[in-house]
Amino acid sequence: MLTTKPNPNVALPELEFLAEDTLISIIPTHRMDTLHFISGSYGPFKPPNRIEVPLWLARLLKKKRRCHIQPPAWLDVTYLQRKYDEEQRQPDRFSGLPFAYMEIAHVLLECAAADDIPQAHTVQRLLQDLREIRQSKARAGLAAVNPIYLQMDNLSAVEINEIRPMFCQAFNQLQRLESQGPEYGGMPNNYESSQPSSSYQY
Amino acid sequence: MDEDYGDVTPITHDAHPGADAEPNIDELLQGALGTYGQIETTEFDGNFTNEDVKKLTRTWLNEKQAPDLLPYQDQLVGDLTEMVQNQLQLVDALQEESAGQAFIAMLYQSELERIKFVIRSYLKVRLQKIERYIMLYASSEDHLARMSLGERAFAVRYKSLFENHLHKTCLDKLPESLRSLDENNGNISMVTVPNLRSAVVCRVLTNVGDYAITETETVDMRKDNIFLVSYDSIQNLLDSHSIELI
Repeated sequence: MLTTKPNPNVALPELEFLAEDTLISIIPTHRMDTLHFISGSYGPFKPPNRIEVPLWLARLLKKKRRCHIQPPAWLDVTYLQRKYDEEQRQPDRFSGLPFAYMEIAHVLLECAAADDIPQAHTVQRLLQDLREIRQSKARAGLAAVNPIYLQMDNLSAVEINEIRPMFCQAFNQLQRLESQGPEYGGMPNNYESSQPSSSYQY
Repeated sequence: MDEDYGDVTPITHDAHPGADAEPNIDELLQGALGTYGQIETTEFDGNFTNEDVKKLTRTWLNEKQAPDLLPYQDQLVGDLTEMVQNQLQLVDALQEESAGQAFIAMLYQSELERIKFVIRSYLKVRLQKIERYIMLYASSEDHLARMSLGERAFAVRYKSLFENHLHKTCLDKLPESLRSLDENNGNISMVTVPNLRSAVVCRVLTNVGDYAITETETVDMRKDNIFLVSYDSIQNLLDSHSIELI
């Protein structure tokens, strides 16, 4: 038909938008009354007391120099190194990281790397290493695709988004072949085939 | 003193960052491992969170991934639209006041933009589906029942425009027997229908236990498991909010 098919892929900025709902600890530098948002109330802000706010708010406050960000416990050299070792030890499993770890790390490193994140460069390098080792595992998973189901625990949002076009198409194609008896010469074509769209680079 | 200001998620609820013992990070992460919508409506030391925005976000993502049109969330969109209107008035009032209030108004405004983005995205992905599968949806009671009043009106009008266009540009010049738009020939139909068996990625929200995804295949579905499955095999679970599409 004439219109385009809705694209099930989520764009990277959308993933980052979603991750910005995650709560993050900050230490405000200015006093401020409780803020009453539609999605919830946060405050009062009384320096130097720690408080949790959504990441999008933390980012805004940080940009206006109204808070220090306390990086989450996992955004830490020792922790990430341990996760990397874990990834190496388990070639067929993924270690548990927050679902949006890449997006959260990206936002935090962008707005607070200079003063709030210790050893930001090493953190960044470890994240890159983790990403690469997990990415190659995820891609190797394509061999396991079958027309019934595939379990992919602990994959993160960005990682799922990257393999989705390829994996879904493989799944649909296998399903089609299986449902096709030998009496059919061709494929039933009243179903749409899903077109792979380009993958996202982080 | 941290506890005075209330923690909304379980992430630090159990954590005492100042304590001597090293906190078990994996345990702390349990809360953070969920996707975007696990925070319940809670009153906790004066802090509260409202589930509606999270619910709508999840509704949008489900709609985006599902091959077929899902039931319209009338109440949710209505409630949030009203809250957005009220908050807009508050923002206007704040902007009139001092410079300090203008900063707070800017923060509120940012949240409003986020919510409006989710509402818009949700409505847009639905309209895309309605346009795509108009020949099926506009003549299926089941699908019409899943639409909002506005969407139903749109579907009817879009269908007539679409048919008129095809007739005027081409079909009316053909013999009458070739003018139909919804013919079946063998197992080939002229009507584009969504493939309900297409693959989706889902995350389990509550322990489901053994679930039959096909006649012969049963899977143990536990909270936080992620599966690549065909949409029709997990449609029931989506209806009962046991899973979300990601």
